[in-house]
Amino acid sequence: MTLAVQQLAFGYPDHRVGDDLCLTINPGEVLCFLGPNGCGKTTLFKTMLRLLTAQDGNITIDGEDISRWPQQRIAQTLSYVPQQHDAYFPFTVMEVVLMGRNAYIGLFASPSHRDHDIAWQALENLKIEHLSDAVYTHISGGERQLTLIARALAQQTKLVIMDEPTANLDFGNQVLVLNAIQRLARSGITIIMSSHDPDHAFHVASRVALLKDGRLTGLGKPEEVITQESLRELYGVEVGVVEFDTDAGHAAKLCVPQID
Amino acid sequence: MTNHTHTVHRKQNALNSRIGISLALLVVLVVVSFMVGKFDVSLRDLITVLWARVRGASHDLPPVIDTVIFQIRMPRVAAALVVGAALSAAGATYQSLFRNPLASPDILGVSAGAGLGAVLGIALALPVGAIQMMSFVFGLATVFAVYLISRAVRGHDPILVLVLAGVVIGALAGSCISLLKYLADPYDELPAITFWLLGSLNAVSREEMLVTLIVVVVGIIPLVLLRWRMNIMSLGDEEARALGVHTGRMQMLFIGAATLITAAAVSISGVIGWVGLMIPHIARLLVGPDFSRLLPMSMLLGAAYLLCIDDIARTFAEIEIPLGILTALLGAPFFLWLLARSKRGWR
Repeated sequence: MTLAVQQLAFGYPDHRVGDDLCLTINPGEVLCFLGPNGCGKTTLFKTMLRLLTAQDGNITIDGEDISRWPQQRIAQTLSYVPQQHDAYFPFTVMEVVLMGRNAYIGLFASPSHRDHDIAWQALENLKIEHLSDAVYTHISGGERQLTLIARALAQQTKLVIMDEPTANLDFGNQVLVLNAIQRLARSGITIIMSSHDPDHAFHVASRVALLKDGRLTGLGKPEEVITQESLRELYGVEVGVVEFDTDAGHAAKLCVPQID
Repeated sequence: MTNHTHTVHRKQNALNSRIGISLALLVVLVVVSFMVGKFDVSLRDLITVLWARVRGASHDLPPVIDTVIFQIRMPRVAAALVVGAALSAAGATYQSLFRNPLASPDILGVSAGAGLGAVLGIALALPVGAIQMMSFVFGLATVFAVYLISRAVRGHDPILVLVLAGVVIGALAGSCISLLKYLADPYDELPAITFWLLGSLNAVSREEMLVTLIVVVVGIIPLVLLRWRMNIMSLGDEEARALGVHTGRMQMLFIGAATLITAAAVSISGVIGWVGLMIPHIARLLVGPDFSRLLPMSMLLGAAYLLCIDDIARTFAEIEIPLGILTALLGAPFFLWLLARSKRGWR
């Protein structure tokens, strides 16, 4: 599925965040948005998910304008892994993942055996099946993030939008989540994500979009777009980008901030 | 996969069995409630009378026992069950929907509005049935007013506005009640008003009981049908929409149903606080937050609790103790204990 954004203006009713945004996201790619806090990443994602109304321009999926799609169809096409998840009730991990099946379950129905199986496969896929009975409010931040990714998998959409999936995670959990993203991408799911760490874009992204004040300032392959100049412009700090050979023998890049 | 299905089933069975145990306890409590009171009825007599009624035959016990069981205790026990279950079902709904531990059937001003209707009815010296009708209509009208206000005020978190509007309208209704009390005849009307506002089940007739039961059932049906959707609603508006729920309609439906139930209950019982706040908490501790278990468990516990309270109210002292006083006396310390016990208050 191809998601295209044309001349999109997005924001809140009394506050426009971004303007004139054009972007095409191709099937199977991992597009990573980079940009400082408040640049409009979350607002853009919410507009793509139609949680916010597009103020101008349009969003199409395979050429079809989604602005009139029923909520259910959106949920069968795009799934959302939100940034901060305030857990209110002590649902089990399995119960949370089952909620991903919502768009396929009749109005008065409850999850069927098949829904349970799909949810279980999602847990297996992310190697967290041992958590199925654990209480969502009691597990670690990384496990919660993986649970929400499993929920998105159970939603069985071709496109997954992840808002800073590695935020507030310790290093080990960040790697776990990046691995999960890589695995999803290999299974053919298109991923639109944001990150606060440009290195994460090097690790998993096939393309990078730089967003500043609601406008795209760069778009392309991570090695081409993430440079000393673009990072200076984006974040206002000096960051060197170094190239090195990995143990596996291919070239990789990393960002090294310059500390006085 | 069979393995996981197995574990899941075992766990669900364990939780379902808790609902079963509660049901059994409730049945025992109902039997006891028929036996205790100013006029003691032994278990043997109770069985004899009920069995005779079932067979359509007569029995050789004094006829006063029939009166006590069928005319006095049956409507009262039924009212306690229905009001307790109704307030708890509404409380569970509001708490899940608003994701707020302090949400209760009173939160949108239902009780205050229903109270105002009843007090007005008493002040106008209307018959009992009309007073209940007034309280029902005023309860619904209050929530409708709250809803209209929350629609008119835009640009804020809609649920926050809804709750705040409920508090404001509730306070307004409260001051109107105070005014009516001030103007009321202190020998005749004022005691009736005070008594009604403290909650009681002693004046419930069979007909009123039946009407209330029907309205409560009508309100519970959508809650039962949409029990799984409620789980998704409890994630919050944005996530529920991202998962494909039409949250606006769904919210209206849940609030409407819970309000209908509350107004129906309050119209026959008067204001009984704490039940709808406290019982869903206990139910959640016992069976978890899944609404398909939380709803029946809340209703069972709420019915049992109010029945127990009403038994105490009519047997503890020479005069009847108003229910609202008892539920507050027991509810407030229990709630504090609950808060102290769990770190995050309600998890």
